[in-house]
Amino acid sequence: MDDDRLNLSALDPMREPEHWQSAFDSTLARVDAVLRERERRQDPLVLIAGWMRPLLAAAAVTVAILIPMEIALEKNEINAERVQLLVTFSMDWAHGEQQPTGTDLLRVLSGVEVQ
Amino acid sequence: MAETEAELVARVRRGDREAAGHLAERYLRGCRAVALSIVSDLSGAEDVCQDAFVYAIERIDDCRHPERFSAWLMQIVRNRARNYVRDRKDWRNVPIESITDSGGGPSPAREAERADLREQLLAALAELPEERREVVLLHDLEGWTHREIAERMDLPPGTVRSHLHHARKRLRELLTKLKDPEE
Repeated sequence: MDDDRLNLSALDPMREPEHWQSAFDSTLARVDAVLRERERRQDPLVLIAGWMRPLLAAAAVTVAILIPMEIALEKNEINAERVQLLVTFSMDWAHGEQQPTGTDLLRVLSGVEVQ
Repeated sequence: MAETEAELVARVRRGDREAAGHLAERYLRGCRAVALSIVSDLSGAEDVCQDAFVYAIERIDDCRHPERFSAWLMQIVRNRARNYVRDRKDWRNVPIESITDSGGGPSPAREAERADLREQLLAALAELPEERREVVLLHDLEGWTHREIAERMDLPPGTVRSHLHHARKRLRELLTKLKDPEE
């Protein structure tokens, strides 16, 4: 027991017990609201709904990026094919010592088969 | 056998309201004392302690050491109390009218006497460094042991004893002067 203790009872909340009880009860009421919200956020359906929105957003962005990419890639594939054709015909022309005409080149580049 | 802090925290994390109530019973008064050591008025201290406790429950998953929940809680109280002081009042410039409790009950004369005594105590406490205020309030007002205070304030027990000794000595001098200004 500490006999040297100061008398600070004037600051004791229990000097006005009803007031302190009211403050205590209102604290617990706020805590109740916090715990109810916590419980709601942990509900499986709420969790799934929470995941769905960002997933859908990510899917939308992915599609928005992929479609132009695919278009571009298709073009590149066509271009790659045309380049390959050009290479093939160039080699043929080179072997055959035949100079290609402007028409021949245009036909290769536009994907039309050259005889 | 009383549950440990860690057990109560685990229950609160599972949404157990009763466990939150037990934590409030154990620590709300201590929160008030810590808030009072920083904030200059009783109603401000009660607001701070309530806000801090609710916040601690909201963020209970952030308590990395549940076995030291009360130390973590007291730090939240201190931070909130300092924000309160910074945002609203200077510790030393509190209007005297604010250093009273609201609420009915005692007669006006008795209430005035009580308010005077509270005012004197708060004025004397204002003269102490913050850490010593907290120690003397937790020990002499709330009845915490040196060890409990040391754990919650992250101080060596010897430092707590020293703070308590010096705080009491200074408060006695100041309170004597307040009673007898000519002494």
